[in-house]
Amino acid sequence: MDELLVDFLSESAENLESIGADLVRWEEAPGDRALLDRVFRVVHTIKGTCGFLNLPRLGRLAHAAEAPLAKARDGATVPDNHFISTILAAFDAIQAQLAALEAEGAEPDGNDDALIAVLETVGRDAGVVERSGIDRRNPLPGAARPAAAVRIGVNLLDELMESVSELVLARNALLQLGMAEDGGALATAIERLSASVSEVQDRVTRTRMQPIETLFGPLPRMVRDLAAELGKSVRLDLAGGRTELDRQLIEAIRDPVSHMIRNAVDHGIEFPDERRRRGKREEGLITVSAHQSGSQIVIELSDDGAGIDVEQLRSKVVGAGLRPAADVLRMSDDDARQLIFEPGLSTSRTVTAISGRGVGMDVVKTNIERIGGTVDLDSTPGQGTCIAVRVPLTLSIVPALMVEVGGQRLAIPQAGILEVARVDGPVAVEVIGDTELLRLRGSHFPVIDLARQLGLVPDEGERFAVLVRSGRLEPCAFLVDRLLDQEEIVIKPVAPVIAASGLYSGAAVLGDGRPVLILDLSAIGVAANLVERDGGSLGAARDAPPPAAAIDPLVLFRMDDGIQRAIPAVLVSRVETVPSGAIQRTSREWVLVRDDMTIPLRALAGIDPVVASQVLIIDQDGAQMALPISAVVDIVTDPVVIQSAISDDPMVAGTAVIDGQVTEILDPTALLGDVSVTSRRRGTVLCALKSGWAAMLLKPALERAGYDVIIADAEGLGRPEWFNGTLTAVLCDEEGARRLAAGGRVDGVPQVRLGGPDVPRGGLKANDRDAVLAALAAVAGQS
Amino acid sequence: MGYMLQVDIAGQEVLIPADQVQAVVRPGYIEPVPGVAPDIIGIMTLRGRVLTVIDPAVRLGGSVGSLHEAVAVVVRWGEHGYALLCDRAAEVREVDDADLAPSPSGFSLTWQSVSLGTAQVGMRRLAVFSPGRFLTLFELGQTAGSPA
Repeated sequence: MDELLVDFLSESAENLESIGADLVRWEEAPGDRALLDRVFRVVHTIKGTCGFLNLPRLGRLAHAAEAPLAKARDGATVPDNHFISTILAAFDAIQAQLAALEAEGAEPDGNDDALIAVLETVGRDAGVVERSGIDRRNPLPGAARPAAAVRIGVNLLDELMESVSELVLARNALLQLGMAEDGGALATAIERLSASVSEVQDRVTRTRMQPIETLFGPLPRMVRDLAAELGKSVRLDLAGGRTELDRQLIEAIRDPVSHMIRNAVDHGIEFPDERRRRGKREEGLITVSAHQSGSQIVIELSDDGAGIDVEQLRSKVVGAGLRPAADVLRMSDDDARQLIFEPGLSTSRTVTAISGRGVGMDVVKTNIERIGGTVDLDSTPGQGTCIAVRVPLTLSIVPALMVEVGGQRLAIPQAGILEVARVDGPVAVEVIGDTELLRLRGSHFPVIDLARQLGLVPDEGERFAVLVRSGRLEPCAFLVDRLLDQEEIVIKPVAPVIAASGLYSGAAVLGDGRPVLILDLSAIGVAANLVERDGGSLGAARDAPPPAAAIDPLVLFRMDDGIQRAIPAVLVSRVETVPSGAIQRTSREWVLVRDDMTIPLRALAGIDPVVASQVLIIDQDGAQMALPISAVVDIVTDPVVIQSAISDDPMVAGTAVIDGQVTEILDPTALLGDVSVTSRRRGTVLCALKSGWAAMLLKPALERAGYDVIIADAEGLGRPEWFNGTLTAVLCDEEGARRLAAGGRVDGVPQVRLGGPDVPRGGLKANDRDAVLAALAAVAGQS
Repeated sequence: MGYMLQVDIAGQEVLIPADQVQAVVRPGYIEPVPGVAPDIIGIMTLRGRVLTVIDPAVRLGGSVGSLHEAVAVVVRWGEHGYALLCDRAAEVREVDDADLAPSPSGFSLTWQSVSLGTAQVGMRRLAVFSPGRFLTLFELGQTAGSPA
């Protein structure tokens, strides 16, 4: 592309960007002469250059937009809303053509006759309008540029920066050499050199800085348009626009910031009537401010909207299958609010054109973290949300912790580090099952032994745990041999052949001139399958069965009669608070009325459901049921010994003592009982599974699919009526098969074998109901 | 084809087109890179850049020389700089286009895929090694047959 054209494009883009905020302010102050002059000057410059560069279409459009502006400057017309909207439309068209020009290198085909016609009428209305508040004597200001400026490509600045980094390293080496010579002429010279090198470094860094205004520029317009589209009223306050940060960084946070503002307008700020009802000003307020704090830039975005509805968020996360219900229920509200960053989540009930583009807060967070930044969110229901984005001053320099693993020096970016601890005494690595966990102040974190991941031999002796939370990774502990020091490092990319290992995100040159590799802990964690949840290949690659099946956590709760009860947590999708009057009775059953639908309610004998303050929503294969309770007590993950049922209540499977408290374990089968049972009978299945819970969990699904289910346990095996030839299939694991074979009673009945820890990967899992049903259907069809 | 640098790679004397070579250096400190292919000896710095150090002998067969005596041919491929370890960098030769010939049919597939042909240097015919082709082959992780 022609160099002149490139210059024109970048200059015009800058001008339009800087004018973005002015255009919106113009509506509030149509008589502002200085503002009008600025707008005029931008259009005028574009028009002039178009003639020079032979861009007839753009030139004609700019000319048409200039005419009414000129009239306004002469005082022949006063800009009204229509006037300003038309000029805004012209700016949009100019911007679109510039974009096309940049992409294609030539003007796009077509013409702008319609828009030009409107622009002409705007100009013609002229004289009728009363002249007011416009000072005609004011000459066009800023005709002379304040300081001489030269355009420099960013590439050149990057190269300059690289040379300076090298200069700094050479200076450091010299300093060390010069140290030996005390106070001599060489030492003095080195000192002077050192001082100028620092100065050069500082100035080169500054050449790459831009005020954050360039990022703020388009925001007022965006908010105005969005709000208008949605029928909301939103004011945007910007502060700290003069804060400077690295040009590349501004580009890197541009999309995340504008996405969060879109979110605030779309989901945060309520509609005017809603705001009035809540006693707020009808006009919502979004504040964006920037300031420097140490070596970081803090950008705060806050709105005075509805805040995040934690309960809705919880149920969304569980409903979308992003996290197990048990985990979500256990979270504090503060932690639950952070679920907004969960991949694959969209909190809005309705997907809108504005923010429902499949880009969630997780992408925002990932993008900010990629440049070494952090995102913190705080939200108060009814009062609004505040998000603080912290990014380093420059993109390429990040603080990092140097560690040693198996004699190798490695760098860990500090952005994701939560804590560093010596593995000693109360901080210990415990082996639970086949998993190593780090115990730290009562919490357990998954452990990744970096030496093992990297194929190195760890040093003997003490070790350190670096607790990291990063990207999609759940907080986990990385074991290293030694902590070295902290350094500011300049990240350089590594070659694809190294990046392909998935272990390193880059490399850097340290003060001693040696290179160091930067660990990509997020990727290492993902490879180790420590992601909070994922669908697909990674999970399948793991040999061990998922922990949910192994531990069977229980939700403990109380009902109105004060008795503690429990059901398997996998069945509970969420806890809901019941508004008064929502539990009602039909002639046949109790229901929970929510919005315009009802959910069947399971009332236990002797308990009046109407007094329940909460319900557990139980989700089974899409069918929902509500269980009225007074409060959730706890989630227990320890194995529980279930004794036989002492109650005749069919809903109760047995009792157990949990934390010294007798607890009734409800029978999920009976609870879910008649929820949409298929009428077609497929036969009888004998479940001979080592885990009683696995059988209990499978039973409702099997029954709904049309099978009668018999659960064989240690005592039941002796009952002959089970083997009288009516069985369609046997569902068993290794152990069950052995026991059955020893009895010799079920020869000839097709078996569906579930995989256990001793079955190689690829085995059928008890928690994969669909696969189990498919396998059953296959063998049932044969017999 | 102009000037070529004569070096020993994987125990063979080869020519590398001089315009593809950025520098020939004696590698200083090389930081190992755990968990990657064995060909990647490590990373080193050169004038503020980080280079990936590769020993072509691992993929091309032939004798792996001693690291202490090695020299590194620095090339740029794509966005990245690489240092290819050689046993010896001899001299720069001027090669006429007339002295170039296609690879002999006796070449192994690997050598065929990393060379641009052969060139006559004095009384001898040497393979013309292409760092770009070698790195492409390396990135693809394909060794199309092993050398004799």
